[in-house]
Amino acid sequence: MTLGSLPAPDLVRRLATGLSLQVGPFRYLVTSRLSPVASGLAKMYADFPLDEAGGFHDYHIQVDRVAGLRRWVRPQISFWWDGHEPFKPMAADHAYALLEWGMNWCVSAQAHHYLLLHAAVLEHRGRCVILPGEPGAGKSTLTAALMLSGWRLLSDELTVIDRDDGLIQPLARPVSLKNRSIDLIRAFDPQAVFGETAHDTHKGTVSHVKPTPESVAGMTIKGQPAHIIFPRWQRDAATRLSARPKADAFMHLANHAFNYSLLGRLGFELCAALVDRCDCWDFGYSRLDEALRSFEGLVA
Amino acid sequence: MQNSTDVRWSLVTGAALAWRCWDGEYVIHHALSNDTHRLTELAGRALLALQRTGALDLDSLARECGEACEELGETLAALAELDLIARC
Repeated sequence: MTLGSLPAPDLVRRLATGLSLQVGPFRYLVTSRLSPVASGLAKMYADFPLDEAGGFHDYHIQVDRVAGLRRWVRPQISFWWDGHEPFKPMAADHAYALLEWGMNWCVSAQAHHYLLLHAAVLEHRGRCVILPGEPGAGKSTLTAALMLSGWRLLSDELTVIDRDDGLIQPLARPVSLKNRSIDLIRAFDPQAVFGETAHDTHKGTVSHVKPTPESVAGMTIKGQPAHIIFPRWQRDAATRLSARPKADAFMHLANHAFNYSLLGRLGFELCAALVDRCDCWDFGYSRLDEALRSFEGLVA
Repeated sequence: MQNSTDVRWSLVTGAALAWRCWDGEYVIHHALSNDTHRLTELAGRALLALQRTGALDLDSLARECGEACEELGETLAALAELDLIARC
């Protein structure tokens, strides 16, 4: 049984007391009385198996209305993790986006038994491409387009490296798109399933794309790293793939990792082993169709 | 004036190094500070020579690295600035 097959009233009832959600190696217990959270989960996590095992959860999280006057005057919502509020309250219509950000935060701030890189990961023909990227570099757009073209999504935001074998743990959650990327991907694949759009967030306009059923089905299969590709979208730029010095790629990954320094020597060894086994590239593009052909060529 | 054999250099105490060399560039992790440095090939070779031998004067280190003393002197000064090596 999947989460999507659960009748809406049942989902709402479960969310009120805590809904189990298994995402890769992590188990969340999600609580909320907000209908946008229920409808967002029903739509975005429809293909996830219904987790009824009970027992231990890594993260107990909640998204609900802030109490007091704010219930009535410009209502706000907040995110709680184990009763703590790591973020400031937000406008009520950002509830689903806040849930997704909070789920990312749980892993990036606490899962230090992994090396956590700020990068998307996708796999095709058994080979993973890791996409680090500065904001605005087109990482998420490329990630959504690749996933919708048949690549397996492992993550759009967090590359989770297993310290025991250096492989990548999948976290196939919805892909977060911002601003003009939303229309770009709608045009790229009119069948893509989008969640509600949140306007005027601190990241601009945000919407999420549902992970493909194949990506969800592969959630327990670790990925083999093969390429590290630094994308850069530029208007009218020609598609161009060029080798990036490995030392440079290493420094970028380390500087943008969530917990490289915290892991000390182990962080260095895991990051170095990753760079050892991957080819490193800079990738400039403006056209998605050409970008996809280039990526196909890399894993052929 | 100091002779190039008067001063010996060594790694800072406790500075266990982990390293990689890719295409002539070194990336070094320094356990004592938990800092990571991207270094030239000469700097990387000099550090690893000091890790291997314990302490060397400039002439001996230049021979180990196959480099002229002048260039190596500047590199050692830069490594000392990073607190990776010290005079001893």
